[in-house]
Amino acid sequence: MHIKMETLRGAALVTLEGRFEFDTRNVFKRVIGEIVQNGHRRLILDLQLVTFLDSAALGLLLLTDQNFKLNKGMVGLVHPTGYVRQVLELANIPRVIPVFDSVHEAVGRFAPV
Amino acid sequence: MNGPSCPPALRCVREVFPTEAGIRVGRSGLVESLKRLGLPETHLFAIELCVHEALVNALVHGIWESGGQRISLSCEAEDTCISITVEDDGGAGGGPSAVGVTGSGGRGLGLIRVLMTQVTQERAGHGITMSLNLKEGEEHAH
Repeated sequence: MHIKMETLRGAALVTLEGRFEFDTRNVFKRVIGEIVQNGHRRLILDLQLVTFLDSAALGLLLLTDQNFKLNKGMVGLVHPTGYVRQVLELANIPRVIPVFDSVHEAVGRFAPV
Repeated sequence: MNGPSCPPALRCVREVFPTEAGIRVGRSGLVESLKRLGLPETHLFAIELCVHEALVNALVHGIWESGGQRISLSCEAEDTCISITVEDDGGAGGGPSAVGVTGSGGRGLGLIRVLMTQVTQERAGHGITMSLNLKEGEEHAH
């Protein structure tokens, strides 16, 4: 999985590409750890280019969301497609973590108050 | 292949090297074999995810937690049904917990139960057989 991190209007935007799964859990944890260390409280995960997602990834998404919420932060997911969206829905993730159609929409919702 | 509901018989038993790289090779090898049969992408995705989840469970609970050394992956594809078994030789305990797909644990097993037609666990979680009825999948797809 390839991960790109940037900052957009004060929110951390992480673009994931490829397979988000058990094998790639450590690289994801490391990137999220750096984001937390840098003091970001708003995290946008762009899933548009993710082609495969397993239960380990679901667990990491929920754990990340929980940790951000505990620190009065928020997490949003952007544009999961195809089977990745189906897996997220099977696990009821959209009920817990908001899903946006575009990065633009997520940034608008996550803008600093 | 004569059509999605009539795959030719495929029978295979593979030893999977009990490492993260090993289960990746085992999973993709099986998926490639099933792809060559001409299975539709929807079925392939479900099978790939479920085999992946079962192999990860075997690696984590059977090898790492229970001191096992071997993982086997077998598959039988006949007519309208594909049946896949993943087993490890881990000791007692350490099997995945049977919680639903949205629970705090056993999320992988929950996904398997949702995506497959029938799931049977054996040896206190160290063996799982899952089957997919291809006709049922077609009915759902329409």
